[in-house]
Amino acid sequence: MPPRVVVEKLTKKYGGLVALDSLTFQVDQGETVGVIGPNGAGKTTLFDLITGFQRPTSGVVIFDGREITGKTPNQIVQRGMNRTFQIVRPFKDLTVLENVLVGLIQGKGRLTRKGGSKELRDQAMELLQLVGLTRTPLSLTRNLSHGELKKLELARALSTFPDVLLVDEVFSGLSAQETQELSDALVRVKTSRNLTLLMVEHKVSKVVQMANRMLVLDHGKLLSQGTPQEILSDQKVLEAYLGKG
Amino acid sequence: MPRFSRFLVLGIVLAVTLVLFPLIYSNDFALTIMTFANIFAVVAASWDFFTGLTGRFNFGQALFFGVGSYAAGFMNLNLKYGPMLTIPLAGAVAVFIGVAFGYPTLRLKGPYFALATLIFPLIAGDLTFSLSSVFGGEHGLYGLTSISDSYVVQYYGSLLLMLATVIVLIYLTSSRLGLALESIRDDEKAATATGMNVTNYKLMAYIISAFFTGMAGAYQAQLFKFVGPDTFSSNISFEVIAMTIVGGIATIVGPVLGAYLLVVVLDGLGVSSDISVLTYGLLLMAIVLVFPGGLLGRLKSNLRGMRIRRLLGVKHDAT
Repeated sequence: MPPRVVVEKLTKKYGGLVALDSLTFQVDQGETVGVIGPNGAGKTTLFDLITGFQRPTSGVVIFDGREITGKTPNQIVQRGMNRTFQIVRPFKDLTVLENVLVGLIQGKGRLTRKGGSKELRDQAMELLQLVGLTRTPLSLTRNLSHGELKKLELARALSTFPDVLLVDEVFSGLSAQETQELSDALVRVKTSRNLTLLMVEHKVSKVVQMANRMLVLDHGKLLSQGTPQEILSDQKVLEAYLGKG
Repeated sequence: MPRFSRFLVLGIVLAVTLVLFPLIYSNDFALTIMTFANIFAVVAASWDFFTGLTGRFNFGQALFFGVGSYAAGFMNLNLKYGPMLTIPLAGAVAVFIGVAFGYPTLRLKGPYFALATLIFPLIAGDLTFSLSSVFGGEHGLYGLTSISDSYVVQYYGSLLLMLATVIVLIYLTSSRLGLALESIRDDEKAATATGMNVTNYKLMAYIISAFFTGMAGAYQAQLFKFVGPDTFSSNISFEVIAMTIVGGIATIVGPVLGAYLLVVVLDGLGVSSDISVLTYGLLLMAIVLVFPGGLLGRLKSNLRGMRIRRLLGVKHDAT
């Protein structure tokens, strides 16, 4: 099976600063790939470049065999790739239900064109259940807690029916219990939607637990990649995180 | 009683009162004031549809009003089209102008679109002077044909235009279009990440707003039998903003109420203009202080309920 996502020599410069330096890797169908690295390593920039929110200075992103470099974020969503944002971006003056309806209608599913009201309703409820958002769907979003907003962020990304999902620090700011709930939800979602997952994460323990492969970025370069066990015993990685001993 | 039907009842009571108004109170002056109020209600509701739903401030609604007025005047004088034809055609011309101004500017981020809208009516207003052989310069276009010289007929004509506008705009607000627009208002980046082309949606809202405002301009043109450069005046742009904020932003019906209130206060009290302006200012401040969301601000949740019912076929009661 050909790789789902291919990233080739991806580079992003801001003036003289090189945020990402000729990054190359690929992701296969069904993988969970964890992306870790110290602050400023270029993790979020990488996600922005892949999903079209920023344009690379040079390099190529290929998704399902077609080049998507330079496409707009909404075009990339229509092809089946979506992301969550590190800082949640809810539609705060809409209800929880409407937050997922937007993507169900506008995303790859285009539910109103074929489905009609019953399918739209069922899908919305299923999504909220899948991410474990138990609050009534008709609550106003601005009343939600941070943990609930994180779940809604995930639900909103899923509402567009992505095949590849990029999650950017979904666990940040969550309590141990909320982290557990959300990681359970991610595992559930991945299985039921047959997702390919890329996750940027600060909580290395969580990535080690969930990912089958890891990429380590440092100063915009790919420092190392491999299985979580390989990464944890990699001297270069330890130095990047802890400094030379 | 569910809120949805309360909304409907309120609307029906308001509409019936307005329909019966000339029968109860057929004073020419009062009818003229109410005709103005209807025309402004159309402009304010249209402004609300774009700015209230997308959150992008439009400080130049007068652009569409003036363009509609002049288009109607031009077609009436030069092509001998009657008002029944020039009114919808003027709406179409305003749409065209809306695309011309909106397409390049609606992709601007931050305050730049708002700044651009401030300038649009000034540009268009200047054109009526530089092309004075066509648009009559400061004298404007006069001698237009009107629908009727009867105050009652003019009142009913404007009422019909207002009711049609409000019904269409409520229908659109409570549709998936309204949902898309409100998601853009709340977070444009997140809206893009749902797969929609944000600029196209904003443009759609902008030209729908242009269409109804252009028709309102054309209606006023035939009412006055005259079009002047003050149809592009910033006063119009700012008055409709005041009307909407008083009535309740993103409610469509709120701006209509705001239009009645402010037009009656401004033109109808029969007091000297200084006192009238003072009253106007105090009234605005008082309303905004007591009703921060506008007089009918609560209608937002009714519209939301209507939308969820229409999209999903379920009842709704937001908490």
